[in-house]
Amino acid sequence: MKRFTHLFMVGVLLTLVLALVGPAAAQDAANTGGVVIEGNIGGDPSTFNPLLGSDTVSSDVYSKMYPDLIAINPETLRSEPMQLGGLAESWEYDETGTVLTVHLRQDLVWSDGTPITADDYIWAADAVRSGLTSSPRTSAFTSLADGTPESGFVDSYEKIDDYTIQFVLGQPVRDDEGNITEILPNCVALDSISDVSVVPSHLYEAAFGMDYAAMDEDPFFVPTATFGAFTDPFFEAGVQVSMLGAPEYSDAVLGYVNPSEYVQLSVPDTTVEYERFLAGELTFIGISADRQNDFRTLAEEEGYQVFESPQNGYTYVGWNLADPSNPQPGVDENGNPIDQGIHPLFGDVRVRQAMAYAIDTTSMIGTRPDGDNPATGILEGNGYQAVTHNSGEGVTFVDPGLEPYAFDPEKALELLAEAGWSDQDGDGQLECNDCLYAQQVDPDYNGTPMTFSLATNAGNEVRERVGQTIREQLSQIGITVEFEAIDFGALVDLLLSQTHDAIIIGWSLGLPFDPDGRWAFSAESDVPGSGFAYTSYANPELDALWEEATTIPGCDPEARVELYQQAMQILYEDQPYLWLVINNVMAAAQPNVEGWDPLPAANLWNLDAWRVIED
Amino acid sequence: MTRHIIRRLLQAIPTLIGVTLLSYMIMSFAPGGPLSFLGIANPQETSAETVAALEVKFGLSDPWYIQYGRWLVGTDILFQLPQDETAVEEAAPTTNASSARTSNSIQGCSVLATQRQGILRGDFGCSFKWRRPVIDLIAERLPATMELGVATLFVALFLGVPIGLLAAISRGSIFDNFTRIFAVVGNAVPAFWMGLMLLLIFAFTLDILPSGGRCERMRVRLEDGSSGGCADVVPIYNRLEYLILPVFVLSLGGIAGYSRYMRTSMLDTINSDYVRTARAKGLSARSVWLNHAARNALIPLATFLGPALVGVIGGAAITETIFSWPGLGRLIVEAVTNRDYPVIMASVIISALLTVVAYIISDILYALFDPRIRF
Repeated sequence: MKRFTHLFMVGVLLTLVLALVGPAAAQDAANTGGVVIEGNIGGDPSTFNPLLGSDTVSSDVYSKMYPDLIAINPETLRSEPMQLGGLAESWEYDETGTVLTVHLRQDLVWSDGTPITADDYIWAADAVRSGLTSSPRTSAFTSLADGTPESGFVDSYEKIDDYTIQFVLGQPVRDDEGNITEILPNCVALDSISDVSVVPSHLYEAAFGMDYAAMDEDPFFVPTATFGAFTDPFFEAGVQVSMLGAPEYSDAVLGYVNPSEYVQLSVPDTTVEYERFLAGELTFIGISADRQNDFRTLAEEEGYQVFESPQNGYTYVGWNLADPSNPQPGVDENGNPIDQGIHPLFGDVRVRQAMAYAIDTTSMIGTRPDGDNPATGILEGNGYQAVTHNSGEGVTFVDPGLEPYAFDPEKALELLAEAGWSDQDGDGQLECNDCLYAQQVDPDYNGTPMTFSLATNAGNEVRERVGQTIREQLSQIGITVEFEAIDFGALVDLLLSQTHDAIIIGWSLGLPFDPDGRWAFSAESDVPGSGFAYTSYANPELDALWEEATTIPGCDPEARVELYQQAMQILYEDQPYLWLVINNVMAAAQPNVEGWDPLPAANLWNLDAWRVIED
Repeated sequence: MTRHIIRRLLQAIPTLIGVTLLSYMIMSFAPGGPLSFLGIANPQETSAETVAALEVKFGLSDPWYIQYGRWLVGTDILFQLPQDETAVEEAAPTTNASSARTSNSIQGCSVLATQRQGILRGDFGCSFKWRRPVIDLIAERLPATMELGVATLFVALFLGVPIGLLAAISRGSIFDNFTRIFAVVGNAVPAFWMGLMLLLIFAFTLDILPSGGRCERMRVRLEDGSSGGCADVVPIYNRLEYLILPVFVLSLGGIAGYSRYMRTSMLDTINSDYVRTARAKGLSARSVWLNHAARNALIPLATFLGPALVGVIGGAAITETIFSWPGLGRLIVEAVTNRDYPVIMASVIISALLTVVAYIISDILYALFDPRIRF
């Protein structure tokens, strides 16, 4: 017993010592984890101000200095309370589902000791909503301060106390003059809140007062206090952006920031970037699809750390469903549908489905090398078949039982014959024989060969090869494809003008993951010249599902998943896109990096815990 | 001569205006625009309305000739941009930012600025892409470009001219044939391939030369308390190894070109009467070649030197990309890719100006080398 008491006392003593010394030890360990160097092929940043920026290079810098009101859980990729780098402790909606009260954590301070409060978000939101800056983040709001309509969900915000903010947010209903008459609940509106970062208002106000436009005169403003793992960015044009580890950052994964410095080193050529990684000059890298097979072998031999996951996005063919000679918006100013006409080929759903059967995406993905068998396909096995929008590994918004269209040229020909496309004269080329366009628009169209143009952006080797493969595969069943690879700017112009037949391009889907696809598949987003629903696809049944899935009372996750699965089923059947592939994303780190623990679509979530061990 | 130069400079004014007008028009009609990529990169977050509103603020929704006029004469006299008068009047005066900001000294500028001076008053404008004064962007890239360009020109001339001279003297020899093959290869091998091969061999395999950049990467605290990079503290003579590979790649074509041109010019010259006379007078072969033939053979080369200076400043985008060299060439390519009109126009102006100046320099050199020429 005496011995036990002795041990107990020693244990208590040790615990006390650890409790006292622990924080000091952590403080001592801060910023001793070496320099983390990342290759940057994207050029120089355009701003260090999170309220103005939109490009990836800039956001890679400022996102490490400022918190979000509501942060993303890197494991679920959804907005959740009590996340590192996020202010929200909890939130609740009122009974209408449009009034959201967010309670903030009270333990957070800027690096100068000033508490982070509701004022910091309010100042930032006021600045963006003023519309006086070049900020693209005005998209978060239903309208600007002067009443100009915007497309977002945040209608108003109010500070209740230092640690409570109340929002009115949701889908606005507007009258004929554009005034908001009602706000309907919207389950994805929550994510709009964090489109506006939180900034130290006491320092931003000292610098700019309430003259928000002045921020544009000083886009590289960095306040003397920040809240992030890295701070004090040093920018050397065309060379590097270097940030120092923030010793006082309390929301680090380990409680302190390991690296002493984080560097974006400008390496504009991807081949050189890869070789510099192999030479040990870069700490980590993303491996492009064409090198992944070789690198897997190399990694085993050299001990590189590798992480692979499906891309948060997909490559697809976007068909133009409407008359390309007369592009029209999806709806008029009162929200009434406008007749789109029909595309001679892709206006018929049977033709689009036939394309899905006629094009072999499996062969495009191919296989990885196996022993003496070399790799096959365009992606050499480093990709996955995309089934429909939102499809990806682990994404539940698509019915897991939904299979990609199987490669079946016979089935394609059957569908095409049903749609009035067949080879009547035996020349091997399909012609219109009472096809939908001849029936509905122009009887003289009968006899016209089945030909369409297909474009993609030059320089993207995978897309160029996909285009060539589609041309070859469709020529096998009598369809002529005029394929060309053009400048990316020209492709974007062509896409937005809605004068194309078909385009190969890809979407990178943002975070937090938002299953609502109205931005791409609704008449409201079909605006020639600027909208991304450029296929002019619209389906009232789908619109109703989008609506229901975002306004369902209580936003019950399971009920929403079911509705989205129905929506994806409709897209799958209507085929406004031919979904092709989801790329395999491969990230790699040097063998001497400790704590490297990437997650899908969140490779750097614990960057502040990394330690680069010197030889 | 002075009158000739003044006349040429005056003639340059309509040329420059014509060049900028044409360039602006072509650029405006080219597909895409400075904001084209904003929405497509973030389709879920950036609405069509936001992009349209920004186009108005940037002045991009106006016809191209209005935009050109604004770029030329500014926004304070003509072609004013829209602004919210009420909001500006109500806004509180800006407090001095110095106490709130870090020592970061990068000078930014507003892409929305309504008070542009215009290029005629020396205002190159604000970059849409990088939100910095165009003149600053160019000024900070110029030293790196000059380093690379001058070194390249120096190497190309000081190797190309003697090689051509020797090839002419030893016409038909192994050396002559070797230089012919070298010239073909030097002109035919693409710079990106040559650059990558040299990097693989000398930087990544043998590890005897740096793999890119203008200097070792570092972050140092400068005397004024701000941060600086290696190029701020390490003199060029201590970082010459960074120049070796890019200068070799860039000068290869120059060496090949100059040597062949020099050889041809030299062979033309040695068949001249005065060279024959010099030989007949019994002068040594060395004296004939160097004092009589070579000096005159250099005259046509003067026409090359002027335009070569344009190349020195214009940079070499591909080589700069391969070697991560922070020069003007990379900046211009990125500006074109991003449709950054102010930067593109600045590069057009600089190139056009340099071309004009280069040909005036050529004229002067011609007059200096050949006393028969008078303007």
